[in-house]
Amino acid sequence: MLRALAITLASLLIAATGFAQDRVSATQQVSFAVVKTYSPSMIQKAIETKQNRTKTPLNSSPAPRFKVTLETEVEQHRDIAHVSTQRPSAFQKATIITVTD
Amino acid sequence: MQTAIRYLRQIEMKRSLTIAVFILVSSVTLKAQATATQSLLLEVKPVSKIAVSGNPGPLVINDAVAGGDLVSVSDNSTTYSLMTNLQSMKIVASINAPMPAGTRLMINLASSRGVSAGTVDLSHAVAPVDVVRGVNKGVEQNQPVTYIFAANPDVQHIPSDSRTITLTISE
Repeated sequence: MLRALAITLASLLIAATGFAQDRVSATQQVSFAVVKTYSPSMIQKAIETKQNRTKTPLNSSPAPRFKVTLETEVEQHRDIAHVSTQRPSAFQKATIITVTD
Repeated sequence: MQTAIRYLRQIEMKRSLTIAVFILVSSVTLKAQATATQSLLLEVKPVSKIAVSGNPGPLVINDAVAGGDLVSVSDNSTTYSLMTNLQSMKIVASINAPMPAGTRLMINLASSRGVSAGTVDLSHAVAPVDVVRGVNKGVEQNQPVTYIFAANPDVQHIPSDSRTITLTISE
């Protein structure tokens, strides 16, 4: 009788202490990164900001998140096939845009 | 003469009684040898198990939206399964280290036996937070795990990094 009682008490003790250990866990490894890219709209906005800076004080417009360099305008010949159908403006001016961090 | 006869009868009765007692004891002994008893102690202990199908794919943000809000990517390629013989359990989640400034990592666990807490922000959940509550005894298999990684538009380049997410089933 005493033996059975002792076994029962021991079992209850194990169950009580073992319950906390039964909190089973599982882990997952999550990898992440942010790769910066520039959408056309972002570049366009930065170009406009840059162009506006030439007309207004530097502090009047927000700084772009990246640097835009507008080089000297150069003449660029467009598709020759369209020259005959177009006005002298077929020779239009293009702008070299450099985007850097 | 009669005394002698009475004496002999007494002796005979004692012998018979002795034999009878011997037979009775023997039969009891023989019967005891034919039967054996064991006492069994039966018990079902509380059991709760949880497992995941693997790791989610890399969460890489490479789209930028001018003037937009959070930019985010998600992954729901993994699942979890659990079994428990207890009532009113819950699943909690924690992260081993906070996420970088300007970024957020969120998790969403579906559940058929409990109530999902929806999308939960784990970015700073070093201490466990509830993701599923009220899980009753039974088995739940292959429930989707969705991770959402978001970054503020002004967040600069963040090289590849990782965090360990721990899912625990508890009271």
